[in-house]
Amino acid sequence: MTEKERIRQEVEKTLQCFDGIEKIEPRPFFFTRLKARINSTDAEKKRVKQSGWGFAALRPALLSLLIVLNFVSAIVIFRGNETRSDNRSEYLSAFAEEYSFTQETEDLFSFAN
Amino acid sequence: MDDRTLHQELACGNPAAFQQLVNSHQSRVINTCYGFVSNKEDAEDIAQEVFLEVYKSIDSFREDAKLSTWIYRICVTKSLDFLRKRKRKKRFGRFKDLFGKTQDRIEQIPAPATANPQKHLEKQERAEILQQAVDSLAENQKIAITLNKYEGFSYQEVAEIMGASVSSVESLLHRAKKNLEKTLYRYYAQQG
Repeated sequence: MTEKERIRQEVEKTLQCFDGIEKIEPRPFFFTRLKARINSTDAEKKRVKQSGWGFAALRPALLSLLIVLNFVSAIVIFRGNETRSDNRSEYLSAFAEEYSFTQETEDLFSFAN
Repeated sequence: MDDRTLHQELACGNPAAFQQLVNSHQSRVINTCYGFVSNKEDAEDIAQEVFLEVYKSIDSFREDAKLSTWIYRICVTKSLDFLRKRKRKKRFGRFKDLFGKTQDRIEQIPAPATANPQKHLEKQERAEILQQAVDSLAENQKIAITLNKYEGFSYQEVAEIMGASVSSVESLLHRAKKNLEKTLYRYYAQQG
C-alpha cells in the first residue's frame, strides 16, 4: 500500500465517525429546571418593573427641570453678553475721549486698512 | 396538536402546550447544541436558553416557517454565540474547555458490544480528530454539516433552518466535505 492510499484510508475511516455517533440523553428533570429558570426570569422582570415605576414617573419631571435649566442658562448668558457689549461701548467712548479720537481719526485708520 | 394550534396555545401562555413543545424537541435541541459545543453541560445550558427564548419571543413568531424550524434557528444562533464567547475567553488563556471537550466527545462513542479496547480507543481518537476538523470549517459549512451529519436533518430541513435554498445547502455540504478531507489528509500526512 502506498503512503497516499494509507492516508486516504485513514481519512475515510475518520469521516465514517459521523455514522457512529450516539445521541446524548437530556439529564432528568430538564423541564423542571427550565420552569424554575422561567419563573426566576419572570420574578426578576416583575421586581424591575415595580422598582422602576417610581423612576419612570420622575422622568418627565426631570426632563422639564433640565429644559428650564437650559432656558435659564441661555438667558443668563445672553444677558451677560449684552451687558458686556454695553460696557465695551462705554470703555471705547471713554478711551476715544481720553485720546481725543474723532470720526476723522477713525476714517484715517479704516483707509489705512 | 398541529403547529398553528400549538402556536396559539403558546401565545396564550398555556403551560401544558409549552411542556409538550419542550418534551417533543428537547432531545434534538440538546443534541444539535452538542454538535456545536461538544460539551454536555454547555449543550444543556444552551438548550435551556433556546426554550427560554422561545417562551419569551413566541409573540414574534410570524408562522412564515414551521415552529420546529424557528426553534432550531434559535438553537443554531445560541450555539454560535456561545462558541464566539468561548473563543474570546480562550484568547485570555482559559484552556479547560479544550479538555472538557475531549472528554465529552469520547463519551459519545458507544462502548463496543465485544470487549475490544484497542478498537474502541481508536474510534474515540478519530471522533476527536473529526470534531476538530469540523471546528476549523467556515461558519456556514460548520452549521450545514453539523445539522446534516450530526443531527440527521434532511437537506430541505437544513435549508429551512439556515434560510437558504436546497441547492445552496448541497453546495455548502459538498465544500464542507472537501475541506474536511483536505484537513484530515494534511493531519494524517503529518502523522506519517
